[in-house]
Amino acid sequence: MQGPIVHKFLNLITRIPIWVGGALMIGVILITVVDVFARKFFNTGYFGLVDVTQLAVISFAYLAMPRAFQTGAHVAVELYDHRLSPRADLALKTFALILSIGVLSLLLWYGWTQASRVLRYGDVSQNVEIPMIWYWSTLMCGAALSWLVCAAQICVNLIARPKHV
Amino acid sequence: MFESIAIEVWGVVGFISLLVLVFLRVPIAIAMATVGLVGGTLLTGIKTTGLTFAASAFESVFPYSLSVIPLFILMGVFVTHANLSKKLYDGMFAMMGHWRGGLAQATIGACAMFGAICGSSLATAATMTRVAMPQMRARGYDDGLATGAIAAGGTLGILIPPSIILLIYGILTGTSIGKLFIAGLVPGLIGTAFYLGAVRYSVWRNPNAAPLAQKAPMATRLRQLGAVWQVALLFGLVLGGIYTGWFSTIEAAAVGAFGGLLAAVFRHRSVRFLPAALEDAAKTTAMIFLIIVGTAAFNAFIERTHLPNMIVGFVTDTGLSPMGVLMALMLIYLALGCVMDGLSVIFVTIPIVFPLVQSLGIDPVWFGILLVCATEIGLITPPVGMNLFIIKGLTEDTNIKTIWKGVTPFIVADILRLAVLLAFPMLTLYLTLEVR
Repeated sequence: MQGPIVHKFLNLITRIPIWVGGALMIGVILITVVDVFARKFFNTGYFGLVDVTQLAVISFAYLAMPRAFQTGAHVAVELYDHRLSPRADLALKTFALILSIGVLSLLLWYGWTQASRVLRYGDVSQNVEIPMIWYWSTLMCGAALSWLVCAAQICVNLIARPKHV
Repeated sequence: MFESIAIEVWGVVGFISLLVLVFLRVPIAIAMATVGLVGGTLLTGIKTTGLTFAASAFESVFPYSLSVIPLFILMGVFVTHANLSKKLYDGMFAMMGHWRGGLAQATIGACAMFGAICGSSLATAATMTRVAMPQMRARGYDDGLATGAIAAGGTLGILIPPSIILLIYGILTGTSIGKLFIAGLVPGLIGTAFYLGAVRYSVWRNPNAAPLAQKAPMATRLRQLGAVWQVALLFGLVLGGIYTGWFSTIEAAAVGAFGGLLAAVFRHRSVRFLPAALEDAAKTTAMIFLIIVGTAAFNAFIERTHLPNMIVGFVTDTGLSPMGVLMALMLIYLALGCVMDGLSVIFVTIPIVFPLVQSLGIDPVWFGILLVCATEIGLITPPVGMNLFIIKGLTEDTNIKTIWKGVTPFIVADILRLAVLLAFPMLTLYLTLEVR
């Protein structure tokens, strides 16, 4: 029973950030279209579009990363899937998750150092002075949630019987 | 202990380790990051490697130029939700359906146009299987020809702009995305023409594979063709805007995404499709951006080992001409495309191959198009031709061997196109001379 409950919980915590990033992207699309036409026809535009777009894109990508881990959306070579026994399949999946945890741990550990520095110095974006920590927060949040998703999946894999996976 | 080993050897070991991890089904992004981080730690220590990695995880996805990726992905997802594929297919069917093999040719035409605005081969193959397969079966088309046409047609979108894979190549190598897009147009059209020829050949070999259909009245044909105006408008707006310099590529992507969004809202008469569409697009974006982060870690390690310099030196010493090197590279890419998907091939090989291409003075735009053409063939070649498996998954009663047999003339057409593009670079580069 742990599997379905864990998956439901992970579904919830990985979907909400996507909507946040998605809303920002829709906003950027609308602003860009207005900016293009305002520039062409009224010789005016929205100053700061670059900064806002960068924030939206970073949020869209990093906040969706946990969901990509949760749904197995990351590209992998699946050359011999059908020939693997369920046990071998589970072992390879778990191995990939362990490596993912390693990479994400390093990103979180040293990312924290970098983000703290950005916060301490009060760095801001070039045009409309958005605090750079906002950008870093989405990265750290996405990485932390991805770490959680991978850890939960490793636990589920370890307690699952291969035929049920 | 490590100082006694030539630093280039570490690069070779790293590259082999990457291939091993990839074939152990580790996601490509994690495999590249792992090799980059372990290799970097061995060479410079964990603190330097970790800090550089964290900085590059931010800096490699921060540039404004990368915004074009999620925007074009959103455009493709919205267009898929707008159900433009059915209108396109009906329009193409109205024009070509009454020819022998015309339904398969209509499928290829619809795939080319849908793939161009959707940007994803897999999405095109999946969508067009649902739209075209029942129609072709209902009219007595051979399963092999039908599935072959869909599988091959699905790959056309990779080259016809806007193409996500060309975007990624452009970002990784610093090549002009506008030029790449324009350069992909003629090879994409040549590919479409060659595929139409492959259908003619299949029908000539076996006339029973495609029974003749009745010709619809002119009024019906014109009405159905007219229904593709949304696709034509979107395609014309995005590409025309880039070509004339009216928009930057990023603005064109935003305008395209906005047009796709409007078409989807118009079709659904609500925004209920948005959560699913945003999730689709966000996951694809996250997947691509994580690979970019992994590539940054791998690149940093590979550059430190001087492996690309060693390869450049080695190839220069062999005395091979740039064309000889290019042909050898294409053969390698064709082989890799058979066992890895195109995106993975590009991400894994570009850090090593691109310096070589630059050192030989090969035009990066031309190389990018050739590279994408070669890896695209992998989508329809066994054993990992993803399009084939998508079609097999959606038409469960079709034997995979029937699909392989049906797609063979299209693979030959693809190889012919690659040879033509290799022999005549101006076919690819002519239009780019006009790009502002």
